[in-house]
Amino acid sequence: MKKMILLGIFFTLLLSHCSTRKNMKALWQSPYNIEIETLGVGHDGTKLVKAWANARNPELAVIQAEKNAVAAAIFKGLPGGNGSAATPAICPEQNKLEKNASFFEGFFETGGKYLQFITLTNDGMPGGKDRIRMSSGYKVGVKATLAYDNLREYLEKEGLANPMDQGF
Amino acid sequence: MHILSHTLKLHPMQKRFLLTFFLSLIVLPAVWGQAKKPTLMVVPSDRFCLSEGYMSTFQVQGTEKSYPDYRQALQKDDELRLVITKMGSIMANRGFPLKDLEQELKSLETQQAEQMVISSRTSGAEIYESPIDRLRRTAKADIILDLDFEIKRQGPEKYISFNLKALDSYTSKQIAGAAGAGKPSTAASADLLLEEAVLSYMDGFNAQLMEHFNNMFDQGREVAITIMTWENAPIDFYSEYTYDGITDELGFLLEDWLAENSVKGRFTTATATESRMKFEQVRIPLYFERRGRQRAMDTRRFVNQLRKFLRQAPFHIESSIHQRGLGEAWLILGEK
Repeated sequence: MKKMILLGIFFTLLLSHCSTRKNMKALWQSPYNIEIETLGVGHDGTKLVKAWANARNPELAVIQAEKNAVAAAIFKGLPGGNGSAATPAICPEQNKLEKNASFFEGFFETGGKYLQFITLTNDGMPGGKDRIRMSSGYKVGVKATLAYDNLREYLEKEGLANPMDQGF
Repeated sequence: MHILSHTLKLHPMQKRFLLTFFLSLIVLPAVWGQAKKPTLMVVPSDRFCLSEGYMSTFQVQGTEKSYPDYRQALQKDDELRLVITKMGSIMANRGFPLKDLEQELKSLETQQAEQMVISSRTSGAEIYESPIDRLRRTAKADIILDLDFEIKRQGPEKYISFNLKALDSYTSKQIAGAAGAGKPSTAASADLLLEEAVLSYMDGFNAQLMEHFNNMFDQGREVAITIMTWENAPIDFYSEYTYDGITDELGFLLEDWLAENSVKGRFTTATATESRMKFEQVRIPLYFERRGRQRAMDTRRFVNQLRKFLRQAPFHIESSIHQRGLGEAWLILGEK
């Protein structure tokens, strides 16, 4: 009887652990789960941001953080803060990413077109509070300048964002 | 098409489809019109003019009244000019170059001077200008960007309090807004803080404006229509007519017309008396067809359809249209 109860507890814990892992995996894989903050008001047409990403090693995390920053500007918008107002998403429509999956897969390919719209403030590896050792790798935060207006104009030309004067 | 169908061995239905498709490619761009683009102009708010001392005082029927002096504000205030220029460049980049208030005021003055000296070569006649033309010769835009800002201090730091509203000139509705305070700074100059404020708020502000335009394309342009009567008109809005089998007062029949001709029958009757009817939130279509071509609709064109309707039986009412801009028109019944 005791054995049965222990076995029951074991399976319940195992199931809940699997479910938590599944949820966490879904959360990490979501393209909308982006950690980003605005660092200040950028010069004409640019945004100053700090984006975070998790990866096996810091180098991969930096690459992912750059992609995250560009993805946030396109699908999520940038939060306000440090004297800057919130910036709306360039493509605020629902399921824009899913509907144009092939375009965005190419766009966000490592070394792809997205790099044209982001500049890191320095190319050194982030250290200190911006590089956190996790159990499964690293969490890295990078400071970058986003060429927001250029990105918007590019997506307008590609027909993925609506220009403000469309229809006039 | 014959060669194509021969080589591809097309079914007659497929041939017809292809022919229609190619024809539509040629014809559609020619007939599809574009909606009338609203004009935008930055105007300093009354509060800004009052707090900065840019006011002019006039005697109106024995009472002293103060009005904002935009010319003085634009000539003397460097910071205002900086904000307007910055906003102008951002808006031009988004496809909406702003009307410049200062240039508009100058242009009106020059126009007035030129009109006074122009005369015809044959008889020496001067240009006719009715009192209403003179009254309407003011700087105007379809959307007013009402701007207010103040440089505030908190100990050694200064910061910008910024308030920008986009107002529809005809419905007086606020269609977009951006307001807030910038990050305090001891080192940055006021100019830099102002530039930051504009850069910080314009993306969100433009997104709201875009939302308004999208709504307009979806549900029609929102306009205001006022129908009045000349004092010698033989009718009023309580006069009864029988139209399409329905006998009712003219006011109710006019509402019926609007319900049938506005987009999704949307309008609100704001005023309904014997001599005046005011309709607000009237959603008019963006296009109309003339000689087989789609053309952009404005309130004057829309009200012209109502004017033609009233000229027909059983009404036989003559009327004249007075346009007040892209989004407002008056129809005055009784005579031309």
